[in-house]
Formats: sequence, C-alpha cells, structure tokens
Amino acid sequence: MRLRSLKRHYLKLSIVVVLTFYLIPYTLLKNPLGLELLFFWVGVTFAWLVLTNALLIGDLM
Amino acid sequence: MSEYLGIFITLLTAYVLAGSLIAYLSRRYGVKSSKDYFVSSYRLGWFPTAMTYAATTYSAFMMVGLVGLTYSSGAGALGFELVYLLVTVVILASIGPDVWAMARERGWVSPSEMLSDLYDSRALGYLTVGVYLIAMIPYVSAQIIGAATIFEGIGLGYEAGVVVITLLILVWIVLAGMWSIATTDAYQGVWMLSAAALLVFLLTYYLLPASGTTLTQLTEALSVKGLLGLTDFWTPQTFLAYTLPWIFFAVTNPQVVVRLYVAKDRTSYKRSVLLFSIFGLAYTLAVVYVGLVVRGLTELNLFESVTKADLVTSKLLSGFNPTLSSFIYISIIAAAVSTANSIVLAVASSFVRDLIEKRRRLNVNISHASNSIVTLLTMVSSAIAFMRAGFVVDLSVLTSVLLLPLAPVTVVAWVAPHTIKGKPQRIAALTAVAVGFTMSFALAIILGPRKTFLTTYYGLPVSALVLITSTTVFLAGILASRRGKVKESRERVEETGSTSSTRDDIR
Repeated sequence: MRLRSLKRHYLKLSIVVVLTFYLIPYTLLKNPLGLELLFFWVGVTFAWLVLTNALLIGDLM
Repeated sequence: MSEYLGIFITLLTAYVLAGSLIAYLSRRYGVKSSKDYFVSSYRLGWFPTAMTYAATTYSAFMMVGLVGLTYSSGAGALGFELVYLLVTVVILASIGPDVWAMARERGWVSPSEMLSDLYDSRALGYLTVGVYLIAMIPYVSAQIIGAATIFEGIGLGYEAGVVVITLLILVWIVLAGMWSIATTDAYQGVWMLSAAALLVFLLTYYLLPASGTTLTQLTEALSVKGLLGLTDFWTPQTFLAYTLPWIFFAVTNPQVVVRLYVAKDRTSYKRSVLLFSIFGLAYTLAVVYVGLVVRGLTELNLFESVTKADLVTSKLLSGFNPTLSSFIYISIIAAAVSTANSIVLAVASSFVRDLIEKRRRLNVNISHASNSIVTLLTMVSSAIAFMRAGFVVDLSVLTSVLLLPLAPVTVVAWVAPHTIKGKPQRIAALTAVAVGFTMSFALAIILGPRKTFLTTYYGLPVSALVLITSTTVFLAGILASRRGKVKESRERVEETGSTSSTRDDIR
C-alpha cells in the first residue's frame, strides 16, 4: 500500500519534471548568455535518472 | 584501391566477422519454439537486455541526423533528445516491471499479441499488425538507406551497401532470432558508444587545438549566434512536434515494447534499466557535443559551412585519419543494422503469433514460417531502399506519429488492465487506433510526410492532434460504456425495489 502511494507520488512528480522541461526553457531560459539551458536540461535529466534508478534498484517502486 | 577504401573494407570485414561469430555462437542457447525465437523465452541477462534496448532505440539517426540537427538548430536538439530519455526511463521504471511480469504470466511473444490479449480482441491484434507494417517498413528502409549512403560516399557504391546491409540484417536474425540479435546488439552497442567517445576525444584533444581555438571561444561564438538558447527553429510547436512522438516511443514502437519481456528475472530487468540510462545519457551528450563543437568551429570560420544538415558528420570525418573515421562510420552502420533487425523481428513476431499461431494453423511449421516472414519483410524493406522510393522512404519521418494512436490504448491497458475487459472497451480501442492512424496516414498522403510532421492546426502539431483525437475517442468510448453500466444497474435496482414494494402492497 505504502509502495503504491510512493509510486503514485513519483509518477505525479515525473509529470511535473517533464513539464518543466518544456516550460522553463520557453519562459526563463529562452535567450541564455551561456550554457544555462544545456545545464538545466542535463541537470534535470541526470537528477531524475539517478532518483528513478535508486527507487527501482532499492525496490521502492 | 585507395588507402582509405582498403582500411574501411578491412574494418568492415572485422566488424561483420566478429558479429557473425557472436550471432553463430548464440545458437547454443537453443531455438525450438516461437517463444525462443522472438523473445529468447525470457532468458536474457541484464547486459544484453540493456544493450539490445539501447542499440535498438538509438539508430543511425543519432550520429547523422541529430549531429546535423544540433549543428543547424542549436541547443534545442538536446532538449528534444533528453526528454525522450527521461520519459522512457520513467516508463521503464514505473510501468515496465508490471509489463515484464504480465508478459511471462500470459506468455506474450509479440507486442500486438499483448494488445489483443489485454483487450480480448483478435481484431485489435490484426489492426495493430497492419499499423506496424505500414509504419515500420519505411523506417527499416531508411536505416538501410542511411548505411548504404556511407558505402556510396566512401566509393563502394550504394547498391553494394544495400546488399551488404540487407544480408547482415537477415543473417543476424535468422541465426538465432532474439538471441543472435541481443548478443550482436550488445557488441554493436559497445562499438557505437566507443565511436562516440572517440569522436568527442578527437574533437576536444585534436581538432580544437589543431584549429587554434578553445572550448571557451567556441561557447562564446555559439552564444553570440543564440545557438545555446532556443533558436527560431525551435518554436514551441516545433519542439512539441519533435518530442511528442518520442515521449511515447517506449509504448508504441514494437521493437522496444517487446524488449520489456525479455529479461530473465526482476533483478536483471532493473539492472538493465540502469545500464540503459547510463548509455542513453552518455550517447546523447556525446552526439550533441559533436554537433555544437562543429557549429562553433563554423562560426569561427575554422570549419566549412554545411548547408545540408545530414552531411555534417561525413564532412567532419573526411578530415580525420582513415582508420579512426572508418571506425566511426562502422558505428553508424552498426546503429542502423541493430535498429533494423530488431524492427524486422518484432513485426515478424506479430505476423507469426497473431496471424498463424493464435489462429491455430497447426499444419504450418512455425520455424519455417518465422524465417520466411523475416526474409520477406527484410526483402521488401531492401527493395524500397534500393529504389529509394520517395513517398515510402519519406514516410519514415512519420513512423512514430503513425504509431501514436496506440499510445492511449496501450497505456490504459498496462496501468489498469482490469478496466478494459468488455465489448465497449474493445470497440473503443479499435476505433481509437483506426481513427488516429487513418487521420495521420491521410494527412501524409495529402500534405506529404515531411510537411505533415511540422504542420500545425489551431497552434498544435499533427502529432498532438492525433494523440488528442485517439485519446478522446478511446476515453469517450470507455466513459459511455461505464455510464451505460451505471444506468443499467440503477434500473435493475429500481426494478427490484418496485417489485418488492409491489409485493409488500399485495401483502
């Protein structure tokens, strides 16, 4: 039951993360001076992949 | 024969011989049934499972198309490719384990069989096979064309390229089905990643110093041109048109859906997701880095300006040492072959399971039928590539859009399989797939595939409209059937109530 709840929260958060992938670049990072947009996309992806795999390998989903 | 050609042929021969040996050795795992042939009887370890997923997903598009797209359109290409990886890993980690478990419980071998089983509808299985056939064959042809073009550019001839690639696809499938594909994919995946790493190394430690520039200067040049932000090319509509079909790639494309079944146990499955995540991130970053560096060099007038985006990689490699550039060229061929043979096997599995085995045509030898269908599909794709048939080849641009109507139907079936049993749900699923597919295919015929991909209506790209339409049709069908059921049960309750009150009155 607790695991299912965690999975549900994870999926909701994943949708938010994907939405930021679209919204932040078109609102805050449209014309960056340097590598901000690239770092944003790579950082978000890296962080979410680490979290996802940690949850998966740790049997938390 | 030039030195370049000799080196390329030597490396190509080594690649083919090593791959063929690996494929041949994989026969020892034994192929006796369609389950062995198409899904290795769910016995793959974590390493081949991860590598076959990666090598199948990442096609020749990466080193040719994505390098060119990054070169021509800037940083937006990274967002497009990373959103695919992000969503795919989320799907693999959250829904994937359930699909893996359901596949072995229910004995799924093909992706269309999965849908027909979940919806208890043979018609849906047949329709899905038809959709795969129209959507996937052009994609296989495009892979053959991509690899054969390398042969043409090097001086070996386009036709020779088509023949070599076709034979490779065919032989590496027929030797041991999923076993030979998964093991050769692992080998090709290592080649692809090594070549990408080599290219990054060569650019950073050879080309940049040789050109007398630094990464800082390149970054400044790219920034001045706005290439580190969202260029005019990446309007929100274009970004959506590119990303939407890829977000659902793991759900709709048969060659990757079938790879959810194959891991030998839950631990192997989980480890394979981890390795795929690492592979995907590393490969994507390497490819985008190459595109940006070459564009930066062009901006600094240190590299020629390339107007046709797909030629960026070949222009870049033409300046390298023949051995190194041949190694990288062969990685592109490997990416094409590993994607093409996985698609052929997945589509063939749908034919064999839905049209032969499930219909209990027992007089048919399944092994012969499987090999015959694999051969037929490969030959048709090869013939299209050989003729470079315009419309059909262009259709490969739309492959993922044509498959999009399968997304809502598949996601609901995976997440809530208990809610889709019943005639209304079957009809809703069939209608959703038929309407969405007809809509995208009709637009491809009217506008042409390439134009359809980027055309917008009411501010939305065609991919979004196809997805919205098929989702609406599907959900409307399900909701209507639920309302019908609620109404029916209410009427029944009322009827029972009125009968008992009548009885009370009589008493």
